[in-house]
Amino acid sequence: MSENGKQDGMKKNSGVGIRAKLLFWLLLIALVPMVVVGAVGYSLSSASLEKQSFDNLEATLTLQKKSLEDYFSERTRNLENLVDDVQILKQKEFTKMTAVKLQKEKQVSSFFNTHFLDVASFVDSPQQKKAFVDFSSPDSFAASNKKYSSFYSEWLKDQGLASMIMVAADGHVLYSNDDLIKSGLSLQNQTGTPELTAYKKGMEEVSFTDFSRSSLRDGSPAAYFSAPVQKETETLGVILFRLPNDAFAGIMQDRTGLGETGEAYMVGPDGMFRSNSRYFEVSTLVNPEFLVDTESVAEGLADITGERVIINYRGEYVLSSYVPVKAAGVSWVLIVEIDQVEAMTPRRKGEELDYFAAYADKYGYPDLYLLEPDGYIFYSAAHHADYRTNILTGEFRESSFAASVNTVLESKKMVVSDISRYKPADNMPASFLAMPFLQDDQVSMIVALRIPIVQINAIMETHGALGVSGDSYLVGPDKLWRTESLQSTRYNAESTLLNPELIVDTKPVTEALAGNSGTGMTSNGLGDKVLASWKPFSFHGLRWAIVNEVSQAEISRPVTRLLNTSSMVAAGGVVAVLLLSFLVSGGITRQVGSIMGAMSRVESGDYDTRAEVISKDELGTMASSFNVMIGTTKSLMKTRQEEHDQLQESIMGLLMEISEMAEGDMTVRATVREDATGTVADSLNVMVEELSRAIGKIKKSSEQVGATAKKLSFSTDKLTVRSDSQSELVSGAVEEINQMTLAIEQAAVQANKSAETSELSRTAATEGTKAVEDTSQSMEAIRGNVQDTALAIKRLGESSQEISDFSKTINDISDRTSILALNASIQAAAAGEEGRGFAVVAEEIQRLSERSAGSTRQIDTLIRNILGEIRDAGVSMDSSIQEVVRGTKLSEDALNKLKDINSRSTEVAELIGAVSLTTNEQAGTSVKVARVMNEIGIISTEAAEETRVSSQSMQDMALVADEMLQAIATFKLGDEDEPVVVAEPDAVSDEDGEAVDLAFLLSEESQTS
Amino acid sequence: MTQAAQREKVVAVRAVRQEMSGESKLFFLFTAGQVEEVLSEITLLPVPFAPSFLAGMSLWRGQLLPVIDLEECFSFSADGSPGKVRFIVVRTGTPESAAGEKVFRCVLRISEDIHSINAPDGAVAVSSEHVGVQSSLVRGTYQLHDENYIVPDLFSILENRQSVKNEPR
Amino acid sequence: MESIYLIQSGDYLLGIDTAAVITTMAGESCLKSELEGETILLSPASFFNQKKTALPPAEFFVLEMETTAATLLLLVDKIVAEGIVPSHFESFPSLYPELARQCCPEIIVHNDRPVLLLDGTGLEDVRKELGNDYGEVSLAALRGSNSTDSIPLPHSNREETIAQPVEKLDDTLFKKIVSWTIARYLDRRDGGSVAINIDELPLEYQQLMQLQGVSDTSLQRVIDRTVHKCGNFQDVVLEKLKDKTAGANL
Repeated sequence: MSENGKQDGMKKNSGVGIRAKLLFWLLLIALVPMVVVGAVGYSLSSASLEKQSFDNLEATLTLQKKSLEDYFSERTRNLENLVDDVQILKQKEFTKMTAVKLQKEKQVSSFFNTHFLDVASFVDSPQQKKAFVDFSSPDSFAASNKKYSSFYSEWLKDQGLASMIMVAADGHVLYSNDDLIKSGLSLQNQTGTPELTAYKKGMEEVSFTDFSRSSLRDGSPAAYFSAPVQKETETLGVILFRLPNDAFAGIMQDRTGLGETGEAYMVGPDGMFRSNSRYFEVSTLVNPEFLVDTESVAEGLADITGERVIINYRGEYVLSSYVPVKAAGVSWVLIVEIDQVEAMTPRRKGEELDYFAAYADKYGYPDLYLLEPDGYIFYSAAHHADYRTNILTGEFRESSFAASVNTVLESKKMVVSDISRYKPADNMPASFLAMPFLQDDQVSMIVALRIPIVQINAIMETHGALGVSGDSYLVGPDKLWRTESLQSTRYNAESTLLNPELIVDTKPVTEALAGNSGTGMTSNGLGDKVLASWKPFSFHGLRWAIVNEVSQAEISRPVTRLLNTSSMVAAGGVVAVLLLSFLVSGGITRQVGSIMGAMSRVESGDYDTRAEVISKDELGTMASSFNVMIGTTKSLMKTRQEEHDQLQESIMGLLMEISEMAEGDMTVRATVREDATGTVADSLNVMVEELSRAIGKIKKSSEQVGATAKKLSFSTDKLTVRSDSQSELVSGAVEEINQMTLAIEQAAVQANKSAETSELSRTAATEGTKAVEDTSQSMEAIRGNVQDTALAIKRLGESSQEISDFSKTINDISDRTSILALNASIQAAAAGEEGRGFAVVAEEIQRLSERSAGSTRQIDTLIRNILGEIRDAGVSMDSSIQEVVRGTKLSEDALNKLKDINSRSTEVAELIGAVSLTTNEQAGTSVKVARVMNEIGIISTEAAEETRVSSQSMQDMALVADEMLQAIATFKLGDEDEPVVVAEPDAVSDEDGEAVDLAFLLSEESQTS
Repeated sequence: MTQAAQREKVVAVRAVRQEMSGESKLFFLFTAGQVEEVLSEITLLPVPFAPSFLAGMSLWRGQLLPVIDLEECFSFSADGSPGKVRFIVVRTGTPESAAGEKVFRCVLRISEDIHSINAPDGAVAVSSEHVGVQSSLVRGTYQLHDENYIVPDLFSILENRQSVKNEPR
Repeated sequence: MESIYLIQSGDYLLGIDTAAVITTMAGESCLKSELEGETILLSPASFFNQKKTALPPAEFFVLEMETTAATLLLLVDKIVAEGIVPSHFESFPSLYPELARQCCPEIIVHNDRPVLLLDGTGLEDVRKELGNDYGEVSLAALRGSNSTDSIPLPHSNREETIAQPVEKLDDTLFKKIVSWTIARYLDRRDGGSVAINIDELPLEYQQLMQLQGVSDTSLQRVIDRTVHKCGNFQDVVLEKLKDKTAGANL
C-alpha cells in the first residue's frame, strides 16, 4: 500500500508539475505588463481627473462669487437709484410747495396792505369824521345810527371785515355793530383784551392787532385793524375794524398743488395757529391747545425761508416749506406741508401701482420700504404686517431688518442684512438692503429693499460643472445654510435654507468664514467624502462662505470604470493564457501521460495494455519502444505457463480416475500418458480389471429376482387402482342420480305452483283490461266536455266582440249626442232669453252624453279585458283538448297492450301445466334408475377389496428384490453405459406387457455383450 | 233677470298645440251667435296650391266653405297627439249684423275640447305676445287665472289673401 | 261644356270637359304603347301639392287632354265617371288661391261633393309660371316602376322593361349593373334571401358610379327593382337577359 501511494504521489508530482510550471510562467509573462500598465494608468488618470474636478469647482466658484458680487452690486445700484429718485421726488415736491407758499404769502401780505389802505382812507374821509362826531353826541346818536348803520354794514361786507367799533378817545365805545361790544362800554378797563390793544395802537396810528383771545368775546379770538379819527391834529377817537376769524381761510384753503394730505397754515410768534387746520374740527386759531413747535416755525419766525422734512404738529413726517409773513407789524410764518408718504409715493393717473410699487414689481423685489429716520415704515410696496409699524421699536424690532436699519442710522451707509426668517413675510427667509437718504448729513429717510432669495438661490444653482452629486451653497456666520441644497433630498429636509438642524461645521465653511479661499478633499455636512472648493463672500456687512463640492465617488467614477475595464481585460488575458497554455502543454503532457498510464497498468498485471503514440517526437518513439517491450515479455510468460499446466493436468487426470475407481466404478481406466504418470496408471488399470469381473457376476443374478417381483407387483397395483376407480364412479353416478331425482321432484312442485300463478296473472290482466276500458271511455267523455267548453268560450268571445262593437256604436252615439247637445246649447245661447229653457235641456243632454261616454269607456276597457282573458282561456282550452286527446290515445294503447298480455298469459298457463305433468313422470323413472345403480356400486366395492389384498403381497416381494439390488449397485461394471433399468409404473401403458418385454430385452443384450 | 244670466254666452275651444308654461291653458273664444254648428266630421276636399292652414273646402248646407286649421293658422306647433278633431262652422259678425254687411262663413278644424260657457268674468286684456300669437289675426287676448283666451279675428283670417298666394303647402 | 269626365287624382276630385279629352287609356296599355320613354305625364294631385316626383299607384289611368298649345297627358288614379252634366256651379270659397283659380276656374257640385273643373290652358300657364317640373313623371320611369306584370315584348327594348333609374345613369353602366344583379340573383335564389346590397358591387362599378355621380340610393333602387322583377321571369329568360345586358358592354 505505502509503495502504491508513493508511486501515485510521484505520478502526480511529475504530471501536474510540468503543466503548472508552464501555466505559471506563461501567466506571469502575460499579466505582469498588463497590471503594471493598469496601475500606472489608474494613478495618472485619477490624479488628472481630480485636478480637472478641482479646476471645475474653482472655476464655478469664481463664477458664482462674481455673480453674487454682481448681483449685490446691481441691487446696490438699484437702491442708489431709488435714493436718487427719492431725492428727485422730494426736490420736485419742494419746488412745487415753494411756489405754493410764496403765492400764499403774497396773498396774505396783499390782504394786509389792502386793508391798511382801506381802513386809513375810511377814517380819513371827512364824511366819516363827521359821522364819528355825530355818534359822539348823544343827541344825534339815534339819527346817525339810522343814517349810517346800513352803510357801515355794506362797507364792512365789501371789505371782508366782520364788524366795526367806534371808540371815543377816552375809551368809551361810541358805536358798535358788533353784537358782543355794546356802545357805552369803556375799553380802558378791559385789560388784556385785543380790543384794548387795538384801541391803544389805533390812537397812535393805523395799525393791526394780532389775533388773541378776548374776554369780551367769551374767549373767542379777535384781531383788529384800528385807525385814529383825527380832526386837524386832534384825535377824536379810534375806529376798530374786526377781522373775521376765517379771514385767511380762503387763502389757506386753496389747496392747489397740495395733493391729498397737503395743507397750508400760518403760525404766529406765540406758536399758535393763525389759521384753522384742516385736520381738526375745532378751531385751531390761537387755540393754546394746538401749539406748533416745529423747526419750520422756529426758522420761519427767525425770518428764514426754507424747506425740510420734519415731524409736524400732528406728529407726521412731512415735507414742510415755510416762509415768514411780515406785514402790518405782524410776524407770522406761513407753512405749506405735505405728508412724506404722499410726496414720496406719487401715483400716476390711471396706474394701479404707485411709483415704488411699480419699481418693486418691475425688478422683482418682494417688498420696498421707505422708513422715517425713527424707524417708522411709512411706505411699503407689499403692505405686509410691518407696514406702518416702527421697525426699531415695534413688533418686529428683533428682526434682522431692524438691525440693518439701526446700522444704517449709525453708519449712515448702506447695509445688507444677512438672510434670516422675517415674520411679516410669512416667516420666509429674507434679506434686506437698506440705504439712508441724507439731508444735511442727517438721515432723513431710509430706503430699503427686500431681496428675492430665489435669485440668490438661482445663482448658486448654476451647477453645470458640478455633476450629479455636486452641491453649491452659501453658509452664513451662524453656519446655517443660506441657500437650498441641490442635494436637498439627501439632507432629508424640506428646506436646507436656515434649517437650524443642518449646521455646516466643515473645514471649507470655517476657512471661508475666516476669509480664506481654498480647495481640498474633505467631508461635507452629510459626512460624505467630497472635493470642495470654498471662498469667502462679503458685501456691506454680509459675510458668507461660498462652497462648491462634488462627491469623490463621482469624480473617480470614470477611473473606476477604467479600472473595471482593465480588470475585465486582464481576466480575459488570464483566460486566453490558460487556454493557450493548455494547448501548448497538452501536446507534451498527453504523450507523457499515456506512457505513464500504460506503465501503471502493466504494474497492475495488465500486459495487454499499450501506450498510445500521440506525438511523433522522441516521446512518441519512447511509447512505441515501450509497447514492443511489453509484447516480448508477455509471450515469454505464456510459454512457461503452458508447460506447467500440462503436467498439472496429467496428475489431476490420474487422481480423478483413481477416485472414480475408489467409488466403485469399475469401468474407469487410468489414462496412460507420456509423462511421469504413465507407469502409475498402467498398473492401476490391471488391478481394476480383475475386481470388476467378480462383482459383475453377483449383480446379474439379483437383478433377475428383482425384476420378476416388480413385474408382479405392478400388475396387482394396477388392478387395485382400477377397482377403486370403478367403485368411485359407480357411487358418484348413484349420488348424481339421487340429486337428479330430487331436482325433478322439486321441478314438478314448482311447475304446479307456476301454473297457479300464471292463472292468477291472467285473471289480473283481464281485470286490468276492463279498468282501462272504463278509463278510456271516461276520457272520451272528458274530451267531449272540453270541446263543448272550448266552443262555449269561443262563443263568449264572439259575444264580447259583439258587445265591444255595440259599445263602439254607443260611443259613437254618445259622441254625436255630445255634439248635438253642444250645438243645442250654443243655439240656445244665441237665442238669448228665449233659449234659456232649451239650454237647460241641452245641458242635461250634454251631461247624459258625457256619462254615457264615460260608461262606454269603462265597458270598452272591461270588454278589452274580457277579450284578453278569453283569448288566454282559448289558448289554455286548446292545450287541454290536446292533453285530453293524448290521454285518450294513451289509454287506448294501454288497453290494447293489456289485451295482448291477457292472451299471452293464457298461453303461458297452458304451457306450464304441460311441463308440470311431464316432470312428475320423469321423477318416477329416475328413482328406479337410482336403485339399480346402487346395487352395481356394492358389487364393485367388493371386487376392489379383493384386488387390494393380492396387490399387497406382490409389493412385499418386490421390496425384498430391491434391497438386494441396492447392495451391489455401488459397483459399476464394465461395458454398461447405463445402470439397469427398472421399469417404472409410469412407463407402463395399456400395452405394458410389451414395454416390460423390451426392458428385459435390453438387459439381456447387455449381458450377452 | 240676474247678472249672471245677462252675461254673454260664449263658446270656448281649447288650443292643444300651443305650448303654454305650467298649468296655463289656452282657449279660442267665439260668441255663441258666431257659431253656426259643431260637426264631428265633414267631407273635406283639398284645394290646389292651398297654404298649410287651409285644410281644404267642404260643403255645408249647400255652401262651399273653406276649412281652416285654426291652430295651424296661428302657427301652433307643439308636438303630441292632437286627439279627436271637431269642426265648427262660424261666421264673421253676428246674426244681428246689418243687412248690407257681408257675412263670411268658414269651417274651423279644432280640438274636441269645446265648451259653451258664460263669458269669463274678470278676465283682463293682455298683449298678444303674452299668449304668443300674431296680433293682426286676433281681436283680443285675455287672461283669467291660468287660462288665456284668444278672440280670433275671422275677418282678418279670411281676408288674408296676401299670405295665401303662392305659399306652398 | 256639355258633359265632363269625373276623375280622381290623389284626394282631388276633378272634372274635365269631355270635349277636351282626346283619349283615355288604362295605365298598363299606356306602358305597352309605342309612346317614347321621354314622354312626360302630369299627375294633377302632385302638381297641386307642388311635389316634385309623381309616383302613381299600382293601377292608374292616362287621359290625353287638349290644351290650346299642345296635348297634355294626365296621370290619374281613377276615372270616376264620364258624361256628367254639370248643373250647379258653385262660387269659390274664401281663401281660394289665385293659382287654383287659374287651373280650376270653376267648381261644380256633384253628389254633394265639390268638383274642381280643370282648365288645360290655365294648367299649362301655371306650369310655366311655376316652372319646377312639379307633378311630372316620364313614361320611362313609369315603365321602370310599373311593369311587374308585363312580359317583355320581342321587339321592345328588354332592358327598359326591367328598370330604368330616374337619375341619369350611363347606359353601359346601367346594363352592367343589371347583368351583375341578375347573375347574383341566380346565384342566390335558392339560398333564401335574395337581398343584394350595393356594397357588394365590384369596385370598378362603384368607381364608375362615383365618376358619373350616381347616388347610392338610386343605384340601390335599380338593384332592388331588378331583383324584384327577376321573380317574374323564367330562368331561361333571365339567362338570356343577363347575357344580353352583359354583351352590351363588350
